[in-house]
Amino acid sequence: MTLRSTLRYVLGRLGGAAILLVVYSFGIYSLLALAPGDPVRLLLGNLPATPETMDAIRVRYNLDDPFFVQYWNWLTDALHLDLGQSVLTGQDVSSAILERAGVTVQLGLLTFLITMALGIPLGMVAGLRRGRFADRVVSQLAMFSVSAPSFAVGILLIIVFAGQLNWLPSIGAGEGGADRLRHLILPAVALSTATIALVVRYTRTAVIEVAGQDYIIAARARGVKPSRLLFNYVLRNSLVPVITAAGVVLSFVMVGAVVVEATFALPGLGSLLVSAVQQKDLPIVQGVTLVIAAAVFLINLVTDLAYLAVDPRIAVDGASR
Amino acid sequence: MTEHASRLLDVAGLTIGVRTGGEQRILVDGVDLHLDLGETIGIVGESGSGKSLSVRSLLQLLPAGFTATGAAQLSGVNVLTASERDMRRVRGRQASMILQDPFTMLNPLMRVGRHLEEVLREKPEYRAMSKPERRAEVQRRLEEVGITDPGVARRYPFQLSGGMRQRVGIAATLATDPALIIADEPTTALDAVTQQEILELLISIQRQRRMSMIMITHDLRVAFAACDRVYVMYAGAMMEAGPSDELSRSPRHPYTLGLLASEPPLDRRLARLPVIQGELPSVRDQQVGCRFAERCEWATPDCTQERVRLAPIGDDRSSACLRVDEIGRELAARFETVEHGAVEAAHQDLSAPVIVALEGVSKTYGHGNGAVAALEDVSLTIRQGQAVALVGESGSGKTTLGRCLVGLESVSRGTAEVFGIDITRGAKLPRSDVRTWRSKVQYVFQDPYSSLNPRMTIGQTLAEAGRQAALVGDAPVLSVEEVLERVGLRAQYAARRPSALSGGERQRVAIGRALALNPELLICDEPVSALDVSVQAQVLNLLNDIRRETGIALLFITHDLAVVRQVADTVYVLEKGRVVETGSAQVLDSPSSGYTKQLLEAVPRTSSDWLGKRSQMGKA
Amino acid sequence: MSIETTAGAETPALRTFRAARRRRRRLPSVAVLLSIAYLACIVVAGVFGPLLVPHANVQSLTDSLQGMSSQHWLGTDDLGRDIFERVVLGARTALYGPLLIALGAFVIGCVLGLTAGYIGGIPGGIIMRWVDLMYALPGVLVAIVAIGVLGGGYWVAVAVIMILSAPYDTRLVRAVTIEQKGRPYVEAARTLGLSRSRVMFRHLLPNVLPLAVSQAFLSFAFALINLSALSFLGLGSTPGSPDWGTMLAESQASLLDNPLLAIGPALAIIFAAVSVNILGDYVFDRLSTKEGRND
Ligand SMILES: Nc1ncnc2c1ncn2[C@@H]1O[C@H](COP(=O)(O)OP(=O)(O)O)[C@@H](O)[C@H]1O
Ligand code: SF4
Ligand SMILES: [Mg+2]
Repeated sequence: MTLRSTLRYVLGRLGGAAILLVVYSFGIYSLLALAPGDPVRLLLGNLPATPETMDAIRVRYNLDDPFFVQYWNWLTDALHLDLGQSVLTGQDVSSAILERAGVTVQLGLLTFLITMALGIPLGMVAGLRRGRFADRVVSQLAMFSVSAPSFAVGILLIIVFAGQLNWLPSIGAGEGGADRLRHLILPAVALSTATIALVVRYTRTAVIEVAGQDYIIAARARGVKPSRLLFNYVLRNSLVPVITAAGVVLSFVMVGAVVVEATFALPGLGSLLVSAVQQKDLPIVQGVTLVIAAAVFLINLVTDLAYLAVDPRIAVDGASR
Repeated sequence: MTEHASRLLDVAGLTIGVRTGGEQRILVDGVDLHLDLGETIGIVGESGSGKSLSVRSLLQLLPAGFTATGAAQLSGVNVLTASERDMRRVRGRQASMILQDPFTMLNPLMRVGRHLEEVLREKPEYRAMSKPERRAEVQRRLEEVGITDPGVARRYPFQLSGGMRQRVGIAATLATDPALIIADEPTTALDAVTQQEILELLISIQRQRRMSMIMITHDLRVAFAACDRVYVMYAGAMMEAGPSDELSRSPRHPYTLGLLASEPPLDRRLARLPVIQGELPSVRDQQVGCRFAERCEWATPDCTQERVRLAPIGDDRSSACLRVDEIGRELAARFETVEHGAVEAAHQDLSAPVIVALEGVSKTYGHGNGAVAALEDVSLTIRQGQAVALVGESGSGKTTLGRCLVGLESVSRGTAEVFGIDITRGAKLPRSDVRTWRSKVQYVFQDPYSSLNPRMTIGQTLAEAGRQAALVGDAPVLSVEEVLERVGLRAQYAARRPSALSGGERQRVAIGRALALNPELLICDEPVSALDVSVQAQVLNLLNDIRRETGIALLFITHDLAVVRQVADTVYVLEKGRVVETGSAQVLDSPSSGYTKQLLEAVPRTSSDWLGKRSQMGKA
Repeated sequence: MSIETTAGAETPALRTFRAARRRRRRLPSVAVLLSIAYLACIVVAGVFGPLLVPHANVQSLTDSLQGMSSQHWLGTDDLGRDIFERVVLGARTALYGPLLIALGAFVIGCVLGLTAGYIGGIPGGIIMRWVDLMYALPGVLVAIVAIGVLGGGYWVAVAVIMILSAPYDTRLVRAVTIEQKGRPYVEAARTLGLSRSRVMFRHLLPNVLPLAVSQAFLSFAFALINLSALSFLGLGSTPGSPDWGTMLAESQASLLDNPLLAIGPALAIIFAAVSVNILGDYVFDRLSTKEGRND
């Protein structure tokens, strides 16, 4: 029963993500057509606008073909990791992306780790000690930080920790290893203020919900050991909704990185995108957006699949949903 | 019987309170209770009477903020004051608890076998076993509760039926081999047939293991059949206690009498069900003295002056009624008249015009692989003014049929005419036909707590229905006051919101809303099953009165055969979407289908032989 | 650590009891009062800003980059403008855009959500495909790209963010509608023969409102954050205008030397977002307990 329905579920989700990505990539490609001005001139960048160069651009980007054909060519190229060239530097978009992706991924992972390492335990404590002092402190803090915008927090962090205290570097990504880590701490903290609060709230609600269930009372009544009760009953069951939170956090981080990288002048995908947007470097914009979107879709997919591992009910119910 | 050597549990003056917004509320007040080794006692009471809180306090399992005072000795430990560490030795080993809802009682992420293993592992003899031996031990314990399929241990709770889950819950509870097992409404969420099986199982295990048991239930008949002695609770206080057979034959407290009387009998139709007037007091109204006083017809001003506690009245019986000596004879006399209350024959006019005609109706939910057939080839006729009952277990398709008749579901196949309108055409019907259909057929839902819009006052709800009636035309439109009066509510109710009403009152409003359209057919879907017994009888009487006054036809959907007896002229028994038996109400006396017989057999009866036969088998 | 169990058996008495308890506990807390006060300031500053601080935009190079003083509470910027006065002016973009977005998303969400939830069918299917699509999108990213490539300033950003927020409202309203429409009170309304629109707007809407309204507060907070983030990236308000995000961006170049340039606008944004959230929570609690619940 389970294997087949599990497979069907996974395939269904994959298919859904693929369709979304195609629709989305179409939107991204259409930007070129929607952008004010002649696409040829946009794609020329700072090349001189002679008839020859313009013809070359037309040919290179198939601009004389019908729109859907152009899109199709672009998409198949993209699938072969050919995303065109930057109109400003002439660099391959894919290599520019590869160059910059490292910082963003590192920032994302660091933020994710901080978020989970702090958010889950704090949420658990708040949930288990509901209404007590610890809960009130944690909940109030979460309420405060869930809505604090990362760039404003980032700027305050720079002022305090880089300016006044001079503990950590304010901008840039540093070079490799420990130095890189030092440079990423403040950005990661700025990015995780909101996500920690989010995870705290999800976890707290889940724990409260689970702790009130009959099966907890029944297990206590039949003398199940407190440690088992905490881990196998309360924590395990509250973990299920927390997975959703983890997915939300990851996608939030991917996108939030754009703003935070700009705040801390980190050479990541986000700042690549922002500068490309400001300079109307469309191939880069399309490429980076596509990569970030694909990452977000992947995260959503992995979250959905993570449920399979944790909750036996999904394998069966999920398929018939 | 009273040697203290054999005393397992002794509770005296158990009082449970909760602190909210700075004030202390008493939810359970001075409960006295005792239990001997190997004995089974029942605690009976309507919802909110404090049964669950009382037993949970014995294991220190009260929700946060609740405090329990008084004395409770369980095998020599004062369980109200014992430390958490000591309680760990009590929970499981001394006493363990089964809860009401089998669907929420097991850890959804843990396989069935693990539920047993995790507590078995606490035992040295289990730890000494080899792996196959352990597996065999788990299997043996599942077999004890009647689960013979060895695959079950590896399943997850969500893959089992309610009855199976409750069996697993029982096995897990028994895995610690407790001396006392507390069953808090263990069968309330189950179908009658499953309820009987589970009760039989519990009793046979209790006898085999010579355990003690506290059985909590709101059904006096279940308590009498399953327990040696019964305690009756009302609004947080004990009313009466005594051996089952005596209590069931001669109640010595007006409340017990009222409860016994308002239980509709299965074997005869009463002209009028005896009722306890009023409804359960809400937690907010606290009072000194007898808590039953405002509903008691024997109450005198003295009853609300002094503190009331359960007091012995001889023969191992006790009553909390202050006037028990004075009114004892009166109670007995009243009980006699109830037992032999005026009987009414089911009567119907089989020449009246047909208003509902179903022929070979089927209804399928979903499609493809996931399709479920809820109704198959059902034929049914309702005549003007007739009262038809639709009986069956949950999932048998009763509600689906009712919903099809008002257009909340559509019929998949077959012919269906309601007041001459072909309802299979559904959305294709002309507007005028839909209007007629809506005004002639109305529906009363099971759950009174969600059948009224919480954001509208009662008056607004009824007025809206009235305006709808005016649209259709012919009959005079009832005013809000008239509707309220018809369903036995005062006019002041118009200004209130549903949240200020009790369950019974809400159900009256729901009936009133339906009646406001002057329908000729009223479909009632389990209209009393969410209500307490004492209120149930009031609503049933109301429906019978309305029928008598207006000649409205009734389609009564229920799982409760005793209720069927009280209201129906004609009965249809549904099993898995098919009609397995139909006929006048006499089918309850001489059923022809095996399924109907099974249902009748499963209706709780006071005598202990109701559970007797099969529990003997369990001993093999 | 011990585990506290909460719920007992759900008896009717218990439900009213709980509701009563909830009600009593929800007097406005200090945090709520502070939030209300702060938001009131923003509203006043947003509406009457130019009247309150008529000289905010006056440049005076002799006064550039002064520290805090009784004359310039938060000092002055490089053009000698009073920073505090500019923060006051910034309330306008922090108020109007988010307000419009929250209201727009609320209205779109209620109409589409009720339609998708109650009527379903083909319109419902279309609405939900659209919602799914928008949901899977990284919203801020779309805003950045769309505004960056298509051009346009603050008001285009407002429109884009409104379109990106509406799916959240829609999905929420639809979910609540579906949950509510299975309840007997709605089915009873249908059996009475009430019209679709009456069922939707008289019966369902009032019961959907508490959540939708609290969602509107959330939308407001997110709109505020995203709009100022866009301005911060140079994509929203025009450079040089008194917008908190723009001011922050312009402070970046000399952040370590002149932190005063940033502190005012940064705190203004943070407190605004936090206050809206706190108030949203409070309003939700009030709405959902006030009389209006069956349970
Ligand atoms: N968790 C709780 N919070 C507040 N009141 C409660 C709670 N549990 C029970 N009560 C109150 O205590 C009284 C007794 O409840 P309970 O023991 O569950 O009754 P029973 O089991 O007889 O139905 C009821 O009036 C109910 O309102
Ligand atoms: S004490 Fe009084 S009020 Fe209570 S049951 Fe007896 S007679 Fe009725
Ligand atoms: Mg109970």
